[in-house]
Amino acid sequence: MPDGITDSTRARWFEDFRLGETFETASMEVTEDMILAFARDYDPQPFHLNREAAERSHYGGLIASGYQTAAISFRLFVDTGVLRACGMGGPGIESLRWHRPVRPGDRLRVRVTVASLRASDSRKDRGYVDFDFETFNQDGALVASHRLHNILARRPD
Amino acid sequence: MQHLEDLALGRWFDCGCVRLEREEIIAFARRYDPQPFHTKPEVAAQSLFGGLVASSLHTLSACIGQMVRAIAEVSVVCGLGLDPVALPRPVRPGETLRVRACWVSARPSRSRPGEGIARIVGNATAGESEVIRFGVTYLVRRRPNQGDRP
Repeated sequence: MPDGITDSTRARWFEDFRLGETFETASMEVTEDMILAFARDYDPQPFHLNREAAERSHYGGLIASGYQTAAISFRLFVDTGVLRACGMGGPGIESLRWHRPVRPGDRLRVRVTVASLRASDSRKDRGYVDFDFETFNQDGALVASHRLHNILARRPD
Repeated sequence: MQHLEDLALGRWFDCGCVRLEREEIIAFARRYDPQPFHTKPEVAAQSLFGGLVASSLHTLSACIGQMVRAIAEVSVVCGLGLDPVALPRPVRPGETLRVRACWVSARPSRSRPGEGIARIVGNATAGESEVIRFGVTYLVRRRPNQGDRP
């Protein structure tokens, strides 16, 4: 589970985000148990599921599902508290790339950059944001990146 | 095993159904997406969703799981990327998702002899409506005796 969480103390709304603004998350260790549990339910490929089979694979050892890496990255972002008041869900992802494998014992952290902001014309209570996620391991190497579409509530009157 | 040359392009196939139960929605969200409309039914009821909804990452992961089981015979080297993912509406507890997928392209890799790049698209429907669509790119092994051909 995360450590050293930097929770923003004030409630943020759509209007509070700035283009190019970045958020740095705390870090989380990815354990072998987490990798195996996720793989059994959601991504049962041999290199995620079975240590022996993984050793014979392209990767030479067990690696985390790329969807789990994305999910952990989002968890770390939620834990910053940035979405606590304004989060209204995320209806899409684009350009998710897996740059390097994530192995048991790796410690991930995330940098999130505000890539676009657009107030809704038709629904005055919300705006649309794109967040660019970059996930790094303990050596500072980029392991995954993607763009997340999110809906944020505007400041209530 | 199926190799790059064996993939039937342009043909949709069924990947079976997956049902997202309330307990699993909450358990997934507590771990990966702890926002109250995914973890707290009473708060979710007061939210814009009007009730608990599954995390988009959960819907995606559950559907990917169905697809991965359906293509288990394909000799995948690794996943390269996911693009795009769209969720036209959220999934509610107890909904059954029917997952389908279709290989749309397969070409030999220029830089990696014996391997090729294949793209699969998928979607899931619940009732009459689509709840997710996605595309994944994989590195897939070629038939052993064709590895050196361009």
